[in-house]
Amino acid sequence: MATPSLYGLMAEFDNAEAIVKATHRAHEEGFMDMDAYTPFPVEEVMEYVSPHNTGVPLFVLIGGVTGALSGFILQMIAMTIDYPLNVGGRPPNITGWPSFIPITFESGILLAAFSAVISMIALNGLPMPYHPVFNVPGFERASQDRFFLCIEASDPKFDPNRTRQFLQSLGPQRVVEVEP
Amino acid sequence: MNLNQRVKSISLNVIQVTALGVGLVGLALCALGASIDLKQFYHAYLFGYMYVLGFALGSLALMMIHHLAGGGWGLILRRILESAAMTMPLMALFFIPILLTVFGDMASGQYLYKWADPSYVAGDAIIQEKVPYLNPQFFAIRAGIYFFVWIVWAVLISKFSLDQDRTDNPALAARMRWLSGSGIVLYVLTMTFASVDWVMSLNAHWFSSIYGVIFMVSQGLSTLALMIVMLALLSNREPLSEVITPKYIHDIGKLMFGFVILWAYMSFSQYIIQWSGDLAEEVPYYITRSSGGWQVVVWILMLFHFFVPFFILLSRRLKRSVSTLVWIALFLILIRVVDLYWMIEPFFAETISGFNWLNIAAPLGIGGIWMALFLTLLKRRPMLPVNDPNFVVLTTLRRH
Repeated sequence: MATPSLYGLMAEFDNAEAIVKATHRAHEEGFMDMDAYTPFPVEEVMEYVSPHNTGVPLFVLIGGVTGALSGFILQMIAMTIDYPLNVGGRPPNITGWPSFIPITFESGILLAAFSAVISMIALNGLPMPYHPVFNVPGFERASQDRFFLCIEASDPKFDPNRTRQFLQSLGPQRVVEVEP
Repeated sequence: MNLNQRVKSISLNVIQVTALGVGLVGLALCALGASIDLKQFYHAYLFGYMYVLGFALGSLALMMIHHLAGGGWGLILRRILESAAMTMPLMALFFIPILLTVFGDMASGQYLYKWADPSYVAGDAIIQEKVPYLNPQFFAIRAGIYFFVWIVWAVLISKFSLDQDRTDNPALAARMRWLSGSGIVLYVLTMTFASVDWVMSLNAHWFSSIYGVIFMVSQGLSTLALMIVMLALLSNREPLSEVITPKYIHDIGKLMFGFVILWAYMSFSQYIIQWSGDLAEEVPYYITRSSGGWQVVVWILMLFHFFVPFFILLSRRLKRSVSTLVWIALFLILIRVVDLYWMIEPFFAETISGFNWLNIAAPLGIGGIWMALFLTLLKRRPMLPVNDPNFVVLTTLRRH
């Protein structure tokens, strides 16, 4: 099996402004498969490197609606069909629906929050014990004081030589190959 | 590019002149209505007044929240909020007719507030107990205190903010923060009492401790919707076009979304507490408001003040573009009228069929004049607080 010899090319920068410029240039060049690694969230970079359609919002919506509906229906069945109980004069039928709303709200939030966390982890591909970017020596500084931009070999516009030249033109500290 | 400049916009001038015209016609119609039916005029006037007051007070509150909490969204809105808050003296002026009604009958034995009518109080044992609070003199003193606080805080914060533009004195930011901290506390207190005095006391038997909060949340919602409309008018013009990015529109859109939810939360909380409690003093509020045709308004509010905007505002793409967000904002500004009408009018009318054209003329009259003054103030000041210590977030790390 022919394994690709390269995961991508990584450029290292020493300040946030440089990586914002670099990502913007790479975006203008038409690179799609790229990712940035920074010690703190840089919102302007996220604009270009993070997928806009993560799929998480849909799961949250489905979770929230399911939670709210099931919470409401559960109380409705319990309070109006199985155990009609007159509590403090509130009618044990569907006209007593206002008293179901707090639980409906809470169960909606509960399932929405669960679906958010679980779908985020699943769609991120976590847990992920191995990732090629950690092969780069000095990459641990991505959580200290360095900013990395990695253009991945899977990008249709990727070319080992030209992409390297392009990254060099952005004025990085260094450009290194990332082994797969 | 000089960021420290005033906005020049033809559309603002057009809106300003139109608003002034609408306001004058509206007030003229109010005067005509007052000569025909003084009682109807006062009911409509109070409703229109509370609606317009929401924009001025909401702006003051949001401005103070931003001084305390920070964030790029507020730096963009600061001057718009200041201009709206600075209309407070006009709102004090507009309050005079309401104030006068507690000192004398408005039309042959008719009082806007029944507790102000000595012959009515004589036959009502419950209100007699409340006279130490609900009497014309104390009512006037309290109103004076509210307006004093609102005007002084609006004027001082706005003055310091303009001083900051001129002098770049670093002490001013701290001074505005201090004023905002105390101002927020005073705003919550004064607005709570104002909602009791001006609206809740229309039925002096009824009470609800969350009433002031409902007003505050509604004012926040009205204001954010107005801010989005203003951004739709101004964001493609210098100097706002130089600093605005979809991120800030998104932030303001999210805030408005939050206030839509908060409005539903507060309004429903009051309902469920009073409905569950089922006390004779409390439930009449909702019995009146869910019969005689008012129940239609309940459904309209549930659907169009919460569910429809809620599900529309879930969309991220919509919240990031001011050209789409502005339609939701305009719709919310409109539905706020319906909510406030449903809160105030049933105090006077058992059925919805008593709708009077004055209920349209009064909000338009007061609102038109208010809008004209607001835009005049807005055009007079630089659009961006360039010397704010945090202003740098708007100019660096932007799109390159």
